[in-house]
Amino acid sequence: MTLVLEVDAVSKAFPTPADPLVVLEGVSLVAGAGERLVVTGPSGSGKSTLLAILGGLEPPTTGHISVAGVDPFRLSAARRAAFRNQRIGFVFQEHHLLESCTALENVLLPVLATGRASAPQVERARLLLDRVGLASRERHLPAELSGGERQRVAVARAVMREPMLLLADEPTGQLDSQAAVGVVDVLTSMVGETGSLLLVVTHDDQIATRVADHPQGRRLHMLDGRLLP
Amino acid sequence: MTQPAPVPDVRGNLLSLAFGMTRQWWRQLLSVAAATAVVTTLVVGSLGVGDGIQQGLRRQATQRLGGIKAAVLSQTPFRADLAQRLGSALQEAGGTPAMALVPAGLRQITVTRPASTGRSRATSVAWLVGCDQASTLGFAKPCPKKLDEGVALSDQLAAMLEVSVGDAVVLRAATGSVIPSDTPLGDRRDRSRSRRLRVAALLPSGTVGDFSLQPSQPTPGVALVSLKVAQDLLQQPGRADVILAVKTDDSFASNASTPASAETLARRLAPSLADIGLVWAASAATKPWRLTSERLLLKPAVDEAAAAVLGPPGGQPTLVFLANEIKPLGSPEDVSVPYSTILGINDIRHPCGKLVDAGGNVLPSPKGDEAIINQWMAADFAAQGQPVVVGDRLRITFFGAETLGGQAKEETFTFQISGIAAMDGLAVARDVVPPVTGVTDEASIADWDPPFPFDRQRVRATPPEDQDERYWQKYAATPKVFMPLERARQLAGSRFGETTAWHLPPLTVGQAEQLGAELAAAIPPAAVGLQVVPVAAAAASAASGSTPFGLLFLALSSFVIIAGLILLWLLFGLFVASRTRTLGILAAVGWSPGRLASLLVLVASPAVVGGVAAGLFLGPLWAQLLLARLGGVWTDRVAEQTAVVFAGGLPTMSTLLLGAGGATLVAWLAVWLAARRAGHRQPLRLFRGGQMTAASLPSWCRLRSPARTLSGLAIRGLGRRPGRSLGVVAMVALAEFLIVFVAGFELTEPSATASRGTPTGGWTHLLRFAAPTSLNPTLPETSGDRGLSTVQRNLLHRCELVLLRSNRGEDANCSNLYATTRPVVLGLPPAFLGRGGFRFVAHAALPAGVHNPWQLLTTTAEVPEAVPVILDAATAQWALKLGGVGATFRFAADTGTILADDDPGGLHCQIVGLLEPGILQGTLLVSEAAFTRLFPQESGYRLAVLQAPAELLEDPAGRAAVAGAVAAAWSDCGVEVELAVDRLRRLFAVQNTFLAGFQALGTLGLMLGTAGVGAVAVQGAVERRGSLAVLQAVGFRRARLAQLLWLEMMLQVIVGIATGATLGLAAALPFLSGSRLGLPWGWLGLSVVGTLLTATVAGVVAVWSIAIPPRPVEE
Repeated sequence: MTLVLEVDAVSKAFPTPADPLVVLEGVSLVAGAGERLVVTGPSGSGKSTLLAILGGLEPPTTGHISVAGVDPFRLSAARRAAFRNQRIGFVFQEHHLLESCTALENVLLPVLATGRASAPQVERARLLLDRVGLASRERHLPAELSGGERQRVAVARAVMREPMLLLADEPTGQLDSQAAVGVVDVLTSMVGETGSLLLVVTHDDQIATRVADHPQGRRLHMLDGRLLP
Repeated sequence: MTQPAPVPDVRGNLLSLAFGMTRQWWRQLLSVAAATAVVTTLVVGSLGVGDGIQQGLRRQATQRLGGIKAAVLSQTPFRADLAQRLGSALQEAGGTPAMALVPAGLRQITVTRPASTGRSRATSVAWLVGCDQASTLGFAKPCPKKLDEGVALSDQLAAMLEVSVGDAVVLRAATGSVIPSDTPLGDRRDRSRSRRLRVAALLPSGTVGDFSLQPSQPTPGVALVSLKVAQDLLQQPGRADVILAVKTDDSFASNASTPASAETLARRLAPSLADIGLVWAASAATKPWRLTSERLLLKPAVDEAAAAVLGPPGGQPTLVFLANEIKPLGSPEDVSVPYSTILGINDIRHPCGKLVDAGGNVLPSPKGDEAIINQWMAADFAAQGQPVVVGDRLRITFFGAETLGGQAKEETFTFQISGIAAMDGLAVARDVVPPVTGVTDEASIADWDPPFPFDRQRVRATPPEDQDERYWQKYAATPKVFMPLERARQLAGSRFGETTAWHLPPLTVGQAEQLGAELAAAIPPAAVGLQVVPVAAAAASAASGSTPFGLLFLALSSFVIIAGLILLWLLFGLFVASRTRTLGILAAVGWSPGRLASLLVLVASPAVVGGVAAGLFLGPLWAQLLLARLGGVWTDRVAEQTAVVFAGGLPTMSTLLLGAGGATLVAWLAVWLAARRAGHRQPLRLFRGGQMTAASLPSWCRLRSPARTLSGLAIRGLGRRPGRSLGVVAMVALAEFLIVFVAGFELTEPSATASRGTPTGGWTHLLRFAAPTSLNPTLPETSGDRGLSTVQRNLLHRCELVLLRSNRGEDANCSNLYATTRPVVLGLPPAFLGRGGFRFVAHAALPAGVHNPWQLLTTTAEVPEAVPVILDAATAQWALKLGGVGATFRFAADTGTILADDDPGGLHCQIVGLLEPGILQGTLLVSEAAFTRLFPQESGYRLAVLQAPAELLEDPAGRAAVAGAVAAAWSDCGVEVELAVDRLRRLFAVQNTFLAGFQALGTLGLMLGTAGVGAVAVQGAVERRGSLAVLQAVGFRRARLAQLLWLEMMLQVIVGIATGATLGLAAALPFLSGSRLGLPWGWLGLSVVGTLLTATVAGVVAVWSIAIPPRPVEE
């Protein structure tokens, strides 16, 4: 199993008028390709902050991380952006689709970050939409899609570059249970095809179980900024 | 029963809520106030420009007239004591007049600085003002009280001639005969008189040196002399050209500037017969009385009055004309009687005597083609071997009644002898022939010095063949032929008159004086060219300007104002967008859309009011800025001394109120539209900041294929807020439209001015004469006696010249900012019309077989009896406001004014062609025949166009040689020579001066557009922080995000520029011509690059200045 993620004693604190607010404290983690990690925990336990650090969006206060052997925070901002583009995929709680772009265009966004979309890339985006069951909705705007459909588009966008690390932050937080299951199934199915390391943050037990019940699944719990096995 | 609870004071609640919000968000509302201030500044400033120019024109009018309120003007000099008599008449009528009546000599002359060591000769045309009471003319600064034999020159004239006090200058004035030069006996050989005078003083600005009766900016210089010196120079002893009515106290000031007071002057104006050039005197020999004119022919108005006054007591009109030759029909070549006068009479029993035969019997009156010859002529033909008897036919050769192009043309007429008069009675009455200088005053017929071609070989003046000389010695110019007056008038009558004298039987002195007085009273002064002009009132009226500059600037500013309003709408829209959650809450708790809109309007109102207040302060400053720019360009390119027009002045209170009211209204409208739009959004949309659906997308955003590039993504981004994107596009488009549209009007000098199809018509020089002339020195027969060198003669022979008739109107071209209704009318001779040239914007349909539009002037206009007129399109549209091709107007020939619709009378004129701007800009062009119909009393040519060989104009020496030859040829009448390209440059500079002002507006618009782009970019980025964070999360670098936003802006700017430029070009295209298609691409390119650069900076600033969150957040 190829090692994809190494997290070593990562802490994160935000300055406040009083003492610094510690959100993460000494988090360490190692995971390889194809693994499916689920991080659960109550609100405010630091799940989303951890995901932001793992995604290279927010630097840790202390400690360091490594994705595919690279510490993204040692890269320049430009190279970090490119790294993120190539190696990391995101699915957020809010779908965060560009409302002016169609479903297909939203899937193509990671490609457009570095240049124009080639015909094979457009084909791949279509294929992904097809894989998430939205082949017939590729020209629809986000406003014309249901919540579950939007999130499925977000999943397709996240795997467009076949990332090594796929991070999903409460991907079903705003969906009903039926739609949530659908999204998780799509997510796990896609990861199965790409061999990516999937890390899902959720407080939904049903979703956590559904992800972790895989042979390569692992369930972790966060509490007060600490990662518990 | 309980009373219902009182309804809460909703309005009060709304107001206090709005007030609280305004206080909370005042920083964001500053942008709304700034945009409102811009709009108000533009409206107030534009109107202020109009106020400023009007005030400047009034200031200049006051400056050039001093205290002069009215003027009595005359076509011919009158006795200077008319001023005194007029004053007495006013005094008798209504006590002491509150005005001084100052007689003055006033004529255009040339002033020359003689050549001296190290300095060549310099000449300039100027107004000669001969006045002994110049210090009473009411100018701000005093002038020399006593000039004696010296001359005072206006500063500008002295500067032009480079002379100072103590230097000598030569004043030269034309002194032609008063007999119209267009008649055979009129003197067409320009003559002049000059005087060398010392410069006694200089007349700075604010003195009589500014004097001009013409309401136009390019004021000529002034040479002030004593009235006596002027009379001497002009050879008009005891006479004056003008009476100036000057206010002497404040009461006059309030009255005399009105036309009504000029009417009072006109009512009391009672010129004597002598004042208007008439001679009412008894013949020394026979004591019959005779009315004659110094100009030979009695004007029609005089003739009419004479018929009424002198007819009843037995007066008879006569017409004398000269036959060059009389000979029996069929006689040998050498049988003739040369140079004989012919008298047209009504009755054989004439006050000067009867015509009787040899037996003393009264001869029957001749009728039709009959005529009586005198016994001398019959005897002379007999002596020549060709005796004639009653019934024989004689042929006379004579000059036509009017000359053409300064050339007298011979005509013939055959009559039958109805009687032979004995040399008695009327046949020997010398006094029937009025005096003609150079003819009747000569001692010998051989000494005649007539203005017409005189063949001395024909005259028998040397013994033994001295019959003509002997007749001259015995009978002088006494007629030899007597024909019916009606026939004589057909042959020799003209627009100048058809009577040379009225004769009455002997009268007592008392009878004669009474008749003379009655006659003088019966002649309307205006009909003989004597009129009272309310110059101050006319100047005040003209100062309203040829163009309503305030409205013009407002119209052109409207594009920028609209851009400003769009900016205001956008900024307020952005403000609203940033407050959607608050609005969503209000909407969710039940606020109606109308109430939400009202709240927003109330929130914005303090900003609007504040902006308007700031605009009221900034508007006058903006007006001053525009005026300063206009004045600066005007000084550089048009006329330095008249830049006072742009010296500025504060907008009037009404302008400020109008501007503030208008700006407030439109600003509130823009705010209300944005507020109404926000108020009508669904609460959920307000909460979520709006959601797009395919249906809500504009069609240009609905791409069939997916966005595969950053540009595609940018287009998608624009579709996010299509209204806002279109607003930015509209702002940029409006500014670019204004720039291109205005630039399209920029006049550039044509490269090939020698071509006839250019604005010069192929003419190289324009010549203006101080006094009318008929001289054409390009013709070998007329250049010989001008004292020209051989080189000059040869040079002029190589030139083509056409003399143009012109009235004494006011320049209506664009360099004259005053409103004029008395335009210059030019009479174009056939040679000019046949040559064609210039370029027409439009013209009436050409008759079959005619290809030259100029020939439309000689064809019948669509409106029967209307005079066909051609003029330039700009003058027709702006200065005179006459309309386009086919438009008709009425023209009062006696006053030279275009009549208003409700004024009666006048001759109908119809526009048959409109020209592009050219050297004849500002003039009404008619055929020469139509001109003489419009202005029957105008004689000679005041203007000429000349085409010199191109090779002569290539170097300064050649140009100087042409100018020198022209100046020498017309040295007597005074000529101003202007290169056609120089005139064109000057005229174009006027238009370009205003364009400079308008371009400033365009630039401001572009600045507004760019500011809008920047504001929208920054605000858009702020609004989309979440989306940008997503993009960042998926790997977009900041530079690429900046690139995306830059592309979005570029698309808006480029679409705006392309739209504006295309529309501007399309709008300007109808006004563009082949020679002017060259738009100022450099300037346009600069503006485009400037806008793009600014947009780039705004894009970069937008991305780098906002804090994009590290993680996607809800937008």
